[in-house]
Amino acid sequence: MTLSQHDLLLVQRHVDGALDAAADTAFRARLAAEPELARRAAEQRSTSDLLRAARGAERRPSPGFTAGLLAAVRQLPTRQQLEQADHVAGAITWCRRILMAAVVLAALGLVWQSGLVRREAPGVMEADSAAVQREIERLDAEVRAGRVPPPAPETQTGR
Amino acid sequence: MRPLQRPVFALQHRTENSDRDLIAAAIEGSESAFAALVDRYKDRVFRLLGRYCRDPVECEDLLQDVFLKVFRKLHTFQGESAFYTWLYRIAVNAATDHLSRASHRRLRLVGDDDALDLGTEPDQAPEAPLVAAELAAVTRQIVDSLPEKFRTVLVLREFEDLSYTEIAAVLQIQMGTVESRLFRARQRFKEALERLHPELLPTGEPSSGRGGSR
Repeated sequence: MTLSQHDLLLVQRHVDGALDAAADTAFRARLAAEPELARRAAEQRSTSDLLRAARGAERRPSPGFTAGLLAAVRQLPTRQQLEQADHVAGAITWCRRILMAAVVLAALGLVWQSGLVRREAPGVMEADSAAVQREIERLDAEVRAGRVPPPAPETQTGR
Repeated sequence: MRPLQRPVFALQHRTENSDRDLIAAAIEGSESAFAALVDRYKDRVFRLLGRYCRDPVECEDLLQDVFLKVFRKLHTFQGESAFYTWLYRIAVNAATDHLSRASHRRLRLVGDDDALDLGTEPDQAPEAPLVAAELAAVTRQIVDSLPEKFRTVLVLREFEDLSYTEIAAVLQIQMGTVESRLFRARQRFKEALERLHPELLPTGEPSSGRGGSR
């Protein structure tokens, strides 16, 4: 029988002691009734034991560690100096940001002014309706005089 | 400095209040308070760092870096989690940075066999320590070969005995992520063990080990 992912995570929580008391009691009842679940729990416990066995012996830093550390700490700038340095660094960062923004804006302005950016075409001029009418009449007259062939009738494409 | 707040989770050390006092005093410039904090936690942090570097001198240098960073950043500790988890977070970050810097040297988890606990129980067979040492070496080798995020979660859980909540606080990830990483890490560990040393694979025979005891 294949266990669901939920059951596998329950097994893990049980072995790691991460279930609350009620959930753990309920899970133990399931372990007693479901051999596959019990097998997975035992396997996980063995894996965990194997890992824990590799912890190795307790090691400690050398006895003079703290004294050496304090000597190194005394070489550090004082907290006030660090805070001042933080403030200065923050101010420098903001100055840099503002400067970069200014440079970018200036560059954009230069590009715009140099005409490298295609400007929008001026608005379409409105035609003089009287002139349009006169042109239509002129073309009609030419057609009537036979100087311009009449437009071919539109063909049906069936599409 | 903002007032230290109560920890949001259940990692309650007996020394919690003293930690807060020491932190406040260290921030005010008390060297002895900082030294007391260091003395309180240096062994545990050293043990954790020892999972990532095998040379004790190198480990101690790393430990010093960690506490120097703690000294510099102590005023930023808000008390939203236990000091211990905040310290562990700095140590884990330092250790993983160290590993990535030294990856070309193929650093392993500590592999000095003399660091192994080879003591024998009175009723053990004479060959038992050798088997235990071999098991431990193989286990560490496999853990070492895991991707960093899986290795770290295994180290924190199996070697450092941290709960899911503590691991989530140290790594600043969700509880669900802790569980899934732990699950995948153990799965990969078992796969590697099966591939390299199938004879060592846990059989799944019921044992009277841990479980639900935390």
